[in-house]
Amino acid sequence: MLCEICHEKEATVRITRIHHGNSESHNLCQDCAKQYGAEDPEAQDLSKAIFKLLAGALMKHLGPQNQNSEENERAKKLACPNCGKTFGEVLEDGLMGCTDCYETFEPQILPMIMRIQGADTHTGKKAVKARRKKTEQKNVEDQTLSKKEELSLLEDRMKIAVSEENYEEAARLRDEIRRLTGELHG
Amino acid sequence: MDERWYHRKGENDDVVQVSRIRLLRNFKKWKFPARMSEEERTEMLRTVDEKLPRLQEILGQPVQKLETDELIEEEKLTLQERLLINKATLEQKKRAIVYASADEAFSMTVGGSDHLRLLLSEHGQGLGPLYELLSEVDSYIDSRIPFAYSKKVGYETSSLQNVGTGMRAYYVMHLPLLSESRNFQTLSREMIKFGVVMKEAWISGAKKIGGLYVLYNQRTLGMKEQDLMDILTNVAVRLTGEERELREKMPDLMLRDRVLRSYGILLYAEQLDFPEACQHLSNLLLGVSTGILSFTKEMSIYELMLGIFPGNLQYYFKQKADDQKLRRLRSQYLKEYLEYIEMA
Repeated sequence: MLCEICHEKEATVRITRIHHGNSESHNLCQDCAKQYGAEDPEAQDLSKAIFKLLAGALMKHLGPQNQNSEENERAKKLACPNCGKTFGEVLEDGLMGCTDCYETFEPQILPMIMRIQGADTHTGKKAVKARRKKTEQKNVEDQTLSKKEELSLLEDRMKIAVSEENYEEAARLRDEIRRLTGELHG
Repeated sequence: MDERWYHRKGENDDVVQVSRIRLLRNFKKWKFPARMSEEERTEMLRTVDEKLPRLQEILGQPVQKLETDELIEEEKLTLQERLLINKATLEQKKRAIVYASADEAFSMTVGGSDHLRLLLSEHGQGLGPLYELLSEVDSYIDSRIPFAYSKKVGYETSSLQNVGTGMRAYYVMHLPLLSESRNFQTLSREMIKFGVVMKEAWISGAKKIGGLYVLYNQRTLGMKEQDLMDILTNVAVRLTGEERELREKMPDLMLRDRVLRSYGILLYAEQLDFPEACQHLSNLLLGVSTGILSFTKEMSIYELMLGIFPGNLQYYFKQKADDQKLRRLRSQYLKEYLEYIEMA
């Protein structure tokens, strides 16, 4: 078997990742694997290589046999208004260009994050600004309950749309959610 | 050298050599490093340099500033070996600045693959206090220069592999006997089910050396930092128990032979290559942990393991050296330190 990164040398090292509790293995050659063998296992380059494999698999999955392929082509051309990076480029190098990329490509990257991380919602430490907002919000919480319910409903629908890879619908719902969130925050 | 972190005595350091936490952060204001212009990069480096006057105070020690493009090759090598700068940052053509604490436990790289890479290490087992301190530094920076963060996915990183907490926690463990046992592979496979990755810390060619293994959390999203660390610690505690049991079970004669044989070689060898020296140091560490050997001053075998890397040797002896010269310097270096180790 050839190395999945260089496609040149014989793969002798096996690297295993977990997605949704299932393991997924990549076979690399000694040279490609060795570069990442140091005690510092950040392996940015390796991450990139593996991301490419994942992205490749994902796009294949979304490929021509899928009836939404036209939308996928459109999604690839989607560009971030802040840094100009397109979603196609994100698929190429696996790197987000700026904070706005996260917002722009949200419907597209959430399923990818799900694949890579086995989850798509952060539950850890909150940024300083987000913590401040939360305390301010508490005061208006009561009267906005129904809108909040509506919001969570929309969020559920967006998740479903994303899981069905219906990105157009997901994007529409995202805008709706954003509008409602805006209203909620006055 | 004496105040460096790996010199200190650590909790459970008969097995756990290093605890380490890494946080990746980006600022909201600028494009991520791969997309930012030279002007933006310069502005970011300057802003960080100016807006964090309390950094030393929070860390409780002086912080040194290093510009990557002002470093010579030997310096780069030794800084990389001491884990103050990662390889990717040194190899990029773009400017980056590293802030390192006097004990070298803390480093902050500005302008690597992400805007910020915060790293904190300690000898022995103890992720909790490390996270507490690093999180304080993190919140301080965030309050001065806001981070790119979203409610949904958390801290936004360049790579989706790190999104969420942006945290990777590590243990470096010395498992010479456990790694030779038959169920080691099974253990390793079992761990991955809990999202804990274990791999050889140091590899030379196809061979693992030094009996050192590194454990870290695979995922960075969907779990709280504390939970990620707890799982890692649970696994580390279990591995520590199993390794200790094997050490106790090993017949005294075999253990002593293994340790003292290596001790003898290190005492008398005139030249040593890295894998061989590392293997013998691993046995010395086993000897210190089981009471066969003891130190006559405060030091750790782990610091010697770091010390015998090519860059660190050249740094220590303040001279350039080719491979052959390095082998001689390595044995010389170890002999100097072996004076402080005696048979118990």
